[in-house]
Parts: sequence; structure tokens; C-alpha cells
Amino acid sequence: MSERQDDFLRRTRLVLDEAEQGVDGATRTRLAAARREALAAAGRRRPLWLLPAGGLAVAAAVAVLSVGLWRTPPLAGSLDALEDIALLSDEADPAFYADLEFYAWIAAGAPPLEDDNG
Amino acid sequence: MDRFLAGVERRAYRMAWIATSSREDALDIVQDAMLRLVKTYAGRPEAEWGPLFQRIVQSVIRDWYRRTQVRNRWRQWLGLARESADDAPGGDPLETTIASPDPGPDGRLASRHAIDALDAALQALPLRQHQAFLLRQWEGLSVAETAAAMGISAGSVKTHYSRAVQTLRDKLEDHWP
Repeated sequence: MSERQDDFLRRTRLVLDEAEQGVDGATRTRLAAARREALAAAGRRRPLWLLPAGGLAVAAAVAVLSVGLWRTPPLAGSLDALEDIALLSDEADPAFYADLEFYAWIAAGAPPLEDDNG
Repeated sequence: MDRFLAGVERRAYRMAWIATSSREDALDIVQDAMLRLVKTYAGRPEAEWGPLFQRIVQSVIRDWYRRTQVRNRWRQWLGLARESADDAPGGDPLETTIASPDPGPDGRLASRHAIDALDAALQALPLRQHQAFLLRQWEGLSVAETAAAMGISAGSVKTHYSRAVQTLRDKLEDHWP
């Protein structure tokens, strides 16, 4: 690494540090409030009645989207659209993201599973 | 935990602000990252909080980028946004910039100040390049640590970092105020 580049990088670090120190008072207050809220929220339990809300919202979105994709040309493939829904749904269960292929399979009209009992 | 977060929140905010160019979005990103750290990792040894928080912040920023790209794409599809060739999605969204700053009168004015000049140059970089640069140079992370925080390979970190340094030098070195 050249000395000139070293000097440049050293200067960028100083500027970045200076910018960090210069964060304005209003933003600092907001950050402190965000920190207090995060610490408080982590200690709160989510109301039981809210637990299925995220999953239901996602399931409803998937159902609507499936019908929409069946009736209209797909935007960029059903899986892409499902990923979009998952990304836009902040409340989605993380497991939903791992099961996108499963939901796409369902949306594509999965064959019925065999009955284990016979 | 409160003391730890108080010590890292401003830097995290600056990183998020450079990524989003939005105070509100940056504050949301920092709060989200704090919440995830506290909820998931508060029980871990304090020495691990720094790397964990950094990884979470970068992950939340990437999520913000992807969601912004998706929203833009759906708005276009639904006809809620004007058609624009510049907005057309293509390639990996993380390899592109969300909103390259307009170098209009405000931009030219900002170039008089070192902080604004560096912010603008960083914001004009693709997300992965400026993440690699900030983590390596500002946070002082190794290549391996940066790769872990960004969720990419060490080789990719080297490539993104090298391109970022070259671009920043080209833009700033001879014009640095």
C-alpha cells in the first residue's frame, strides 16, 4: 500500500470519527430513546392474541397473491413475488423465509399427500 | 447492555444514514438492530456484543435495501410510479446504489466540507462497497470479520473494498477540502 493511500485512508477515518462526534443533539436524543425502547421492548412479552397475527397476514397475502398470479401474468415468477411479500412483511415469522419453496409449491398446486394411516 | 449500546449507537446511526440518506430510516435501522441484539444475544458474553451488533446492523441495512428495491418494483408494476429507465431493476440490488445523490447546487456546496464530501462519495458507492470500506477502515475489522458481518466471502470483501478505495481516492484525493 502506498504512502499516499495510507494518508488518504487515515484522513477518511478522521473525517468519519469527526462526523460521528458531530451527530446533532436531536438525533442523539432520538437514539437514546430508541435504545431505551429496545431495552424495554426486549423485556416485554408479546400479547398472546398478537402471536398469530403475523402468520395470518402472510398467509392471507400468499393466498391473495396466488389467486392474482393465477389470473394475471406473473410479475417475475411466483417465487420472486412470494419473496417480495416476505420481505415487505416485517412481522413475518423467520421460518416463513426458509419455507418459501414450500409455499411456492403449494401455490403451484401441490399434489395431495398420502395418508400415513393407510 | 445499555452502556454498550450507548457507546455504539452513533456510529451505527452514521453507517445507516450513509446507506439510506434518511434520518428516519437510519434511526429505525439502529433501533431494530438494538432490539434484535437485546432480544437474541443479551445473554452472550459482553465481548461478543460488538461483532454481533455489527453483523445485525449490516443485515438490517441490507434488508432495508432489498425492501426499498421491492417497493419500487411493485410501485412501478402497479403504476404508482413514473416509468423511468433509470429506475428499471436489474442485476443484484446490493451491487447498485438506491439513490445516487444529485450533485446539484446542494451537492456542490457540500463538497466544501470534508464530511459532506466523504458522505456523498460513500453514498454514491454500491452498498457492498461502502459496507466493506466502512467495516474495514472505520471499524477496523479484518477481512474475515468483515466477510462474516456482510455475509459474503473473504474474496468478495477484498474486491469490494479495493474498488471502494479506488473510487474514493479518484473522487476525493485531489479535491479533498
